[in-house]
Amino acid sequence: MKIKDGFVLQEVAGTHIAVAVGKRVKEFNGLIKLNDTCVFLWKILEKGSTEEELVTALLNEYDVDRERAKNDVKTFLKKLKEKNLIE
Amino acid sequence: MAKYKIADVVFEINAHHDFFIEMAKKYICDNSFSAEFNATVTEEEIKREKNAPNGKVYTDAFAESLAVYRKISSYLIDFKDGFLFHASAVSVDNRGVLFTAHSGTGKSTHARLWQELLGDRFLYVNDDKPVIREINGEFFVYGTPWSGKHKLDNDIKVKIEAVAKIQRSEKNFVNLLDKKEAIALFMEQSLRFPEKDRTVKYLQIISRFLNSVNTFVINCNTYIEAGKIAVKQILGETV
Repeated sequence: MKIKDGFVLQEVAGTHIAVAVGKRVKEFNGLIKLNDTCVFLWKILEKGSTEEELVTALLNEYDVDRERAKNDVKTFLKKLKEKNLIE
Repeated sequence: MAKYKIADVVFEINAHHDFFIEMAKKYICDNSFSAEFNATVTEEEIKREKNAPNGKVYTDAFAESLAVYRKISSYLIDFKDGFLFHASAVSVDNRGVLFTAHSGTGKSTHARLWQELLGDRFLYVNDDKPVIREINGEFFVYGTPWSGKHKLDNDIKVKIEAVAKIQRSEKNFVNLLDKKEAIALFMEQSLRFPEKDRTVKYLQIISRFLNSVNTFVINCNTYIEAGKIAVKQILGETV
């Protein structure tokens, strides 16, 4: 799976946000606020990845146990799916 | 050929309708100035503005004023680090304050309280759609012809000190506005363009903007006391 085309990730006054650009603006006109972990996952998922690969990437990057990493990835994916940002 | 100086940029705008000519007359400049950009709009561009968000249809004259506004905004974001923002912008002794809110919350009503309290020290920059520009790391607000139904605008430039979101409340009190919330406000209340390069540029500008001004929430009713409390908290003055 992968994040749909047409989003930019940008740091604004200390907060990371993602907003739609181009044609994507018509279906998504809001903004998504992301914490550091989410920014890390977003960048991987932009290129395409599986849920398991995201968990592994988190474990390699951060000092967290597998359970926590799995949960973080799940929560992140749920948020993106709710907003229909994944294809 | 008609030339107008808006936000320190000379535009050539040959309007078809008197509506725009009348609303923009304060900004007209003589032909000895050379225009940086021709913001005259085409029939096609006017047509695109005719459908109002609420389902109504605008007149050609009004749609033309919107089309010009969009065209000018595209030039400002591309070349002048500027954008049009939906707010009531006021000046008190040359200190710029922007009141913003969801439509209908009463930013203009609150601005009027300040005018009542501050008298001659108070000047409207623009009561509806001023331009904000970043110049050498500082942020300024400019009057524009698009100033809402009361036509409250002046052709002036003021350094911005604070942005305040207006929220209706029985009691009057002022809080600091969280920067995260301020970002949402700036995404909603400005004229933005969908193109990627313009969006990124806009986000970079508002990032610097939010780091350089104070951001507040004014929780207020419509009585004069609301103005007194806001002036005290934002300008540090008792009136």
